[in-house]
Amino acid sequence: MTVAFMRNKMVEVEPLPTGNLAVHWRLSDDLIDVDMTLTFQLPDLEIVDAAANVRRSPHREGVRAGEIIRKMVGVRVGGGLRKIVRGLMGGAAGNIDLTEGVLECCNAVILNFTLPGIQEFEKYTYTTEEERLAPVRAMLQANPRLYRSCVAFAEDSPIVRGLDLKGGVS
Amino acid sequence: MIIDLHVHTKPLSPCSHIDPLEMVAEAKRRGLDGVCLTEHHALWGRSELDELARQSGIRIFTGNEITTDQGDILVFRYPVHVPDIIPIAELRREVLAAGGFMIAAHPFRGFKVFGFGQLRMTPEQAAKRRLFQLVDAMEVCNGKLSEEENRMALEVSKILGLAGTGGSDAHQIDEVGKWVTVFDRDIRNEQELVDEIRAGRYTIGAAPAAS
Repeated sequence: MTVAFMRNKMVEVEPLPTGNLAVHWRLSDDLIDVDMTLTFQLPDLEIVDAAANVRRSPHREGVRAGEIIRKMVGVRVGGGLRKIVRGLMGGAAGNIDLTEGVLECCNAVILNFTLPGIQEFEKYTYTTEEERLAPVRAMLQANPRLYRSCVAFAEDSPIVRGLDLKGGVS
Repeated sequence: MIIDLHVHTKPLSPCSHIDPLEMVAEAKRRGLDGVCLTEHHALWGRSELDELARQSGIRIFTGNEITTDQGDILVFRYPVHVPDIIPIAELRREVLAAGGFMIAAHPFRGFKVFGFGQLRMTPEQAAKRRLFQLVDAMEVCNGKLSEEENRMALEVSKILGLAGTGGSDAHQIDEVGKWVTVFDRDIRNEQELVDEIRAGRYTIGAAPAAS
């Protein structure tokens, strides 16, 4: 027996005349057919509009799943995003495809702002290890909660060495 | 009276590495008079709290850190277990009905992840967040945030005239007391804690013996 399965996925960021960003996402395969548009307001990256059309879905909620997406209005791209989105969308018992779609839209917004910088960073040739680590150290200094969150940011790691991240009072 | 208003302990907060007994010993060593246990979506029992306070010799208060669609909220005087993420408007209704108090925790955590011009938010823009209409106070000094993130919170609290508090958000023992709230009066229970924050009879600082 031959199993044939095809999946197409698309995500696109569209700058709007209002200054906001619309993100269009579509997932289509033999089981699912859904498209979603989320509108993000700058500079806070808050979702101010959310709509989805679910034409085909294996999930229990079926085509009603599009209504759930309205819960995303008010959510901001920022700290705790994954936890908030997954929680509001019903967690593991919710519509996982739609949940991941929302997160992919948010990721597209992040890439829209970060990709040009990353591409510039990759073009640069560093002469010393210190020079190579400098941008990562600056990022950690700006986000101290990442300190000790993984082995790369452990106390004795090359990145953390030389940084003062313990002081509460400046 | 020096109180760390935002501390997590294990096992009620699985992300914390702090044993409760170890935490109170460290808090005492650092010169704190009290700590507020604000576990994630989990409440301490009154008898357990009383026992911990008896063993430690400092005051132990309890709250709860609840994740909402608008971020994390420290909730006091609301002894209801909230197991899941909840819309903030719904939480606000329930907490107000119960006579509770809500503090926006680390409201600008991660706001500087993208350091690009068009995303640079002014305090005036940030003050328009719906979140701030639905809380009684906001954390302006959180031990997990950068100086810039805390400074933004302080400026927004001034614009809105919203009370600002300090807490360590400790998840590791050496973080206890990184930021504290120093109350003018002696505080014996959560109701008095809330009353003193409302009255503004406090300042924010670091624990005296904090390294």
